[in-house]
Amino acid sequence: MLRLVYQGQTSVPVEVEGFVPQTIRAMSLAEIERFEVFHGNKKRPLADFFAVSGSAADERIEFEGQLAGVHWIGAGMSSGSIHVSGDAGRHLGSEMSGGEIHVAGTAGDWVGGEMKGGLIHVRGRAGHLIGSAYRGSRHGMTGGTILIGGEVGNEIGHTMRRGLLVVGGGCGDFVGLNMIAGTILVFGECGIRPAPGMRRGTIGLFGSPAPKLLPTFRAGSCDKPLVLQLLFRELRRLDFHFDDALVNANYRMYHGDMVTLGRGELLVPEGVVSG
Amino acid sequence: MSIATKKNTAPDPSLKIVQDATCTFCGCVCDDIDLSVKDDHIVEAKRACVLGKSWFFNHHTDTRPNCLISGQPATIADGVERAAQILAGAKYPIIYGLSDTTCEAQRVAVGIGDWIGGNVDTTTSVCHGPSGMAFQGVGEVTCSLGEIANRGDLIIFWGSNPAESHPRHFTKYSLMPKGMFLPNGRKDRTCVLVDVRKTKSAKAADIFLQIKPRKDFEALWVLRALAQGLELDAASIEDETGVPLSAWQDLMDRMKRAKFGVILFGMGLTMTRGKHLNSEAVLALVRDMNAYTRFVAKPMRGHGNVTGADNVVSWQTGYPFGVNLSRGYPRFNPGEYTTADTLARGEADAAMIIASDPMANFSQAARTRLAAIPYIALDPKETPTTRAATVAFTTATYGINTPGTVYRMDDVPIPLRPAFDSPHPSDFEVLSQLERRVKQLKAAVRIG
Repeated sequence: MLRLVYQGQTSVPVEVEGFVPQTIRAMSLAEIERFEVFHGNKKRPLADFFAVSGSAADERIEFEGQLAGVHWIGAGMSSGSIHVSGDAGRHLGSEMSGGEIHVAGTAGDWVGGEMKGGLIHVRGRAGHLIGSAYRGSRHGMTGGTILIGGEVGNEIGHTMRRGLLVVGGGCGDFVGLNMIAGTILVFGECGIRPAPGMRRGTIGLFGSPAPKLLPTFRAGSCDKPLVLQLLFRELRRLDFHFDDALVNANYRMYHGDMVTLGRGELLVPEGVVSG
Repeated sequence: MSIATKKNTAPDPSLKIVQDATCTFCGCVCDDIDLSVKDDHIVEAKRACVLGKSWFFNHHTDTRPNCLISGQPATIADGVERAAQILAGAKYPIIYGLSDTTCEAQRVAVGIGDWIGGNVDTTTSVCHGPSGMAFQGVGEVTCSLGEIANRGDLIIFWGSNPAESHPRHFTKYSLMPKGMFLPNGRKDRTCVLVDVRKTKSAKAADIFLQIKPRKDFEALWVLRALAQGLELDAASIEDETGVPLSAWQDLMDRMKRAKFGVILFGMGLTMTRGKHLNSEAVLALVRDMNAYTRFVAKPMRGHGNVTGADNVVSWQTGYPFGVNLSRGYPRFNPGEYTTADTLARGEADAAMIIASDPMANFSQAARTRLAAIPYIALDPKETPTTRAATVAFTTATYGINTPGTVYRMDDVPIPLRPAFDSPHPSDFEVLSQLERRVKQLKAAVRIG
């Protein structure tokens, strides 16, 4: 296990893009200390900001300290695991294709931006655009699983194409904007205008009050979808906690967004009052 | 004609006439203004609107020194040296503003941003930045204002009040002109205004739709649905948007019948909840409408050369605003690299503000950070931003004192014809000197 204790005293962003298990596993401790990271526009050795100990041979990295100003942690990661004991900055696990990232605290915006595979689990809240496409890109996350324990901001799952995105708290506006496919589950209150431009995919909005839907969604059947039972079982396996009452609830399905392909599904527990 | 009248109309030899001068007050950038200048003062501005007259008549040359360092008069050379040291030594500098200066100065400013590895952002990020983001997401079906004047038979203003913000837009481009395919001018056009309040522009419109505040996105989604022939619930649509479904259906019918439809949208749309996604909804609607007829969209840009700033920054970096150059290549991410955000989060450690006044209009957190870091300001006038600057340059006013190029709101470049000289240097001159010195400092670091 490689242990990095953050000692940075700076408000200027520190960017550790490329510092991932598959890249450093064969490096000696001295080489790791010399690994170049960006401090604003300056390249600096990793040891300027972190006290480094242990070995990276087992592809396990542990970050300690408050890393809210450290960005791109685990970006491009394909294997191994990263554990952050405190907060993490922006672009956590951006474009990762495998491995696991666990954050005990909170995370910034763009968690799992354009992620392709693997697992990100943030115990606290996170920012905007989780699992989303970067501006101008054609696709958001195309695989993998993102679990956020707390609340998140706007535009999560923007143009998402595949994968699972789960939020334990509430979410902001425009969840699942232009969603192509994949699954989003939100257990808290949802902001306005869910799923505009959604083409396919499934969004479960389980919080109360239920969001007001756009007029281009059509009410469908009411039942206990098997897919939710399977998803709830998977969430329990991943140690993600939620209200057990949801397992046996009935869900109203809405189809949309009819201004686009209209094959998306919105699932809202029956009996939840519209906001 | 009487002798007395003849005397009054005789040309005044002390008057200097500047024909076809360009007004840079708003995004219309009218280039047909005839200025009369007497003793370095503009006394007449033919064809200028009320805003243009105010711009020209209230121009006074500032008597402040050319340069102030920490509030004390200094030479321009000393100011350039201090500014270059600040910018070259910074780790996360920002360059912001740029909308009220020439494209030539903008080009140099972006070059400095590249040399220092900074964040380059313009006032677009706090006005039509959402539209710039929407262009990236949806694309833009667009045209020049000349095409609107010659072809536009259905003109929809959405969240915009040109009667007060762009007074000559109606007469020069959108409503009154007799165009190539609209020989009867206004009679051949239908004008629709969609807004949350009845502005002065409503008088000029044939149809006014007053929607509920912050319901622009929902209203646009209703139109998208109607464009595709979807059935909608009349009661819920009126409850949600504040406008009956029949009125939306009537508008959609007109849009489909139009030969050349235009949506001109303003900050009433782009700066309400939803922001760039409101703009995306407009652009998506226009894209949808092209299945039926020719339809275009244009943002109603405010500052004189904000469109030029978008063009120059795009030309040099590939993106219109909110660009980070710290890695040596451009990264675009509004919300991360935009100035209001880098300041409010306390990340920026130095700044250069060009022809803008963030100290007067940014959030408290952003202003607090700006006040705490060394920064350079270039502005023709004294502002809260220049007062708190480490280095403040008093510069000549573009269009009135300096020549150059600006872009009209439809991305058409227009030359400037200055009225008279200024004792102050232009933004271009100061920035060019600064770029030279920054290059020297950066080269010295590399060699050292």
